Amino acid sequence: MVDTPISPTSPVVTYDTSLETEIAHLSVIIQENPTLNQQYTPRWLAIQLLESDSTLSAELHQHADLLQQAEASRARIIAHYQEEPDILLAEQRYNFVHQLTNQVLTRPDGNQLTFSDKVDQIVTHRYWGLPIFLGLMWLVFKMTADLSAPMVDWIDGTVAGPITNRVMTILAMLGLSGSWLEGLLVDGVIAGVGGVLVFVPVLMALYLALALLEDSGYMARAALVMERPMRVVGLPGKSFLPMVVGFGCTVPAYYATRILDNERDRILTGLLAPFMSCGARLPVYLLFGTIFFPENPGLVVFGMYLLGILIAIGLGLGLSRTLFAESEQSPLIMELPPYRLPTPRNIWMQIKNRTWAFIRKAWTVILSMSILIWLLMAIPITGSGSFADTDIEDSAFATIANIVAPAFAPLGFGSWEASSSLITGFIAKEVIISTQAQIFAVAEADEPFEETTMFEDVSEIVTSFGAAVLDTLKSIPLIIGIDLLGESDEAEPSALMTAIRQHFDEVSGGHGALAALAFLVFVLTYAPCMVAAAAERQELGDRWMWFSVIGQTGLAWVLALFVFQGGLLFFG
Amino acid sequence: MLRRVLQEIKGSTEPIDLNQLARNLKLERTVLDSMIEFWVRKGKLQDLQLEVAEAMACYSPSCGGSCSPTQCPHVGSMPRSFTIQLQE
Amino acid sequence: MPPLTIALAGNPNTGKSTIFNALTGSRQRVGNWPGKTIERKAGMFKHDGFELEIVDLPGTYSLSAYSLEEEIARDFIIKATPAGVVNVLDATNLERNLYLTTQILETGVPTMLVLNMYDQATARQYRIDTAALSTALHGILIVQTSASRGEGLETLKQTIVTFAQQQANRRKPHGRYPNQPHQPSCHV
Repeated sequence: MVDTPISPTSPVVTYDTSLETEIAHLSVIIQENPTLNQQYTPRWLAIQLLESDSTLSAELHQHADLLQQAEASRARIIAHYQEEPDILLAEQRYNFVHQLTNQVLTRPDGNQLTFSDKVDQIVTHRYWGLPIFLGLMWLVFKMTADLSAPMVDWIDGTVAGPITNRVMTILAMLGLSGSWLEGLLVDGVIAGVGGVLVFVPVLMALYLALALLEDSGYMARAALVMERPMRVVGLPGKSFLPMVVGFGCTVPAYYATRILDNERDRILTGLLAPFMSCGARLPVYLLFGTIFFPENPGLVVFGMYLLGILIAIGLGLGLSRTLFAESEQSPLIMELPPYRLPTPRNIWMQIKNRTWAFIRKAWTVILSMSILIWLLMAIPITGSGSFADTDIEDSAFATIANIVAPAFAPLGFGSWEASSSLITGFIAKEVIISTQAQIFAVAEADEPFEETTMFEDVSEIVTSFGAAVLDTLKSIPLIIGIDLLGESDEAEPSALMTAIRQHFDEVSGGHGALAALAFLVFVLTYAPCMVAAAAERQELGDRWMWFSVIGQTGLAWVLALFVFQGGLLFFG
Repeated sequence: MLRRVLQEIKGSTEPIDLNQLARNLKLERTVLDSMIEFWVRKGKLQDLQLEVAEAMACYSPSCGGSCSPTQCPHVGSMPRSFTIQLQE
Repeated sequence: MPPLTIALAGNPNTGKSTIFNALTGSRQRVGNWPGKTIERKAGMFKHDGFELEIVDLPGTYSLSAYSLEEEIARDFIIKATPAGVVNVLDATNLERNLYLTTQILETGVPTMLVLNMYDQATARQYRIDTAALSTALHGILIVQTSASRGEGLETLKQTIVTFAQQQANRRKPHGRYPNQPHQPSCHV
């Protein structure tokens, strides 16, 4: 029988002489103590003591002498190497293992660039990286707009047609036709919440595109690319994390600023994060993009996201040179996972979780806002109407909004209709859409109501769904520029879209598209929503919250003015 | 080599990709990972994924309805990244 | 005499569980580590009339006791004084895995190595000079396995018996392992 020769007298790893001297010194003390010698391997314990293992020190508290000796040994090592013993010991262990591996392992040259490495050299390139990133983002928004259009039309048609019909039919059966309850349900809840839920396919398409980029591994590269502008602005590389979160929702972005080391970086990042367009602003961009630029709504959406980033960079440059002194920079080290084929399961999980958050918000915040807005629209202030039977122009809602409307006149949308939605949009930016949907639903509520049967409604939902699925499939080639739909198949704009178009054309004196752009720039820039403001107050304090709310709204006004008046000069 | 890794990171002015760093130092990626882990434990590097998770711990269900601290759908799949821990 | 205890240690994702299952079969007891929420798996290993208790330690990259897993693994090796440690390594990832090995060896508890996933290492054209590795680690016993394919398991069982018998022969009734001078020995 051969003996296993592991023994404390012949260590496998030997350290530098100075370290070994201290290990030997402590080992002797341990060996001389019968209890310790019985309980531990002396060399092992000596090494742990040099590494100042806290759990062990606690166990050995009654051996004060040994601990004292260990402290003295550590002090000598630190004096000698200017480095902590545990780092030295670990380093020498790593070196031992490295040499040993080189000695026993032969393998093909592993330092050759893999396919993944080669791709990375292009997509994270100092100069190419940014254009590639922007190109992909443009593709994302194009895909979002093109892919979701048929489904948006389907939901819109279903809500405006069969679902409204069903509710009205039931109300008629109960003898409540024309009552205030009908108004609340149809003009309040269905128009408001429905108007926002119409955009579920848009978000699903966006989340699909983003999940594809994330799951394939590209997003990590994008983060590396995004890190550079961060540092141009004078922020540490890691502040890109709250910014990325901000594209989902501004609220968690404020919380994520906590990862920053000092107050200056936290505040500056917090001030810039709201300019990253959150998921709630996307439906607004897309709705107006589709109404006023039906040829290329994706480009409008992309432009808004890009503008937000540019505003943040410009503002960051300004603020970091004036209000805030430069802080120490620290480079970012990132793990770039290998590229892989996205898995349907991962993608579905991401789409589901994010979309679900949006739907839940529609069900809670937007539902309550829709009811409140309907109430305000139902209460007459001027004129001769009574509750729930008044001209909307005479309602409390219009009266309040009319006070601020003139402020928006130079921006091209000085009507109570547009300005009111900006006010309610402070609650949540999706409410901008639900408010306008309610306003224009009430305004044209005179449409004759066709009575339909349950069967007709259901069959209409099913057939139109089938058509929408077909159109979605047909629109896939559109993303790469092949148009299978043809002009004739282009969907008719919905009633809401036509109404908004007419309204903006009227109020801007015939420059509807320009006013719409100014409106979008305002939506992008103005005060963060109420929940976000509360989060900012919690994280950055009162002062900075007000700075954001007032500052951003002021900036929004100036930028929107610039867009509308500048546009008039150029194209007017 | 262990200390070289930290020096290399400190000396860099550009964002660093771990694969690239491993190639530069002629280290195996998995070994580099364990060295990074060592420095995170020593408090010389910050694991940003952990930091974000910690920052979110106080995050009440308020964005888009509700998200639990660790799985806010908007925080989701951040790439794993590290940075030098600046002296407090 | 109660059977000797052998600890199964290694990095995460080295196929340690597959090896544990192959060694113990259905003779397993699953519980928690005392006072911890981490699963503790132990089982009986029987081969050629020889019986051993095998405890599957949590997968760790080091024994520095920074994490709960490391603390459990370290405390078990130091305090429960198993007769030996069977250290499972991923042969495709030798350098990273050997770091833990150096720390296990430092504890002074007799150790043998299992180079698992050997088929994958071979497929990548890795060649490991086990003789040289064994010599460098003072004649440590080394077995190559591809546990997921069931390859090398018979040799592993045989070697574990050999390894355990060595420990049984030299183990004193109380206390730690005797200080013995280094002797050259074979590897498998």
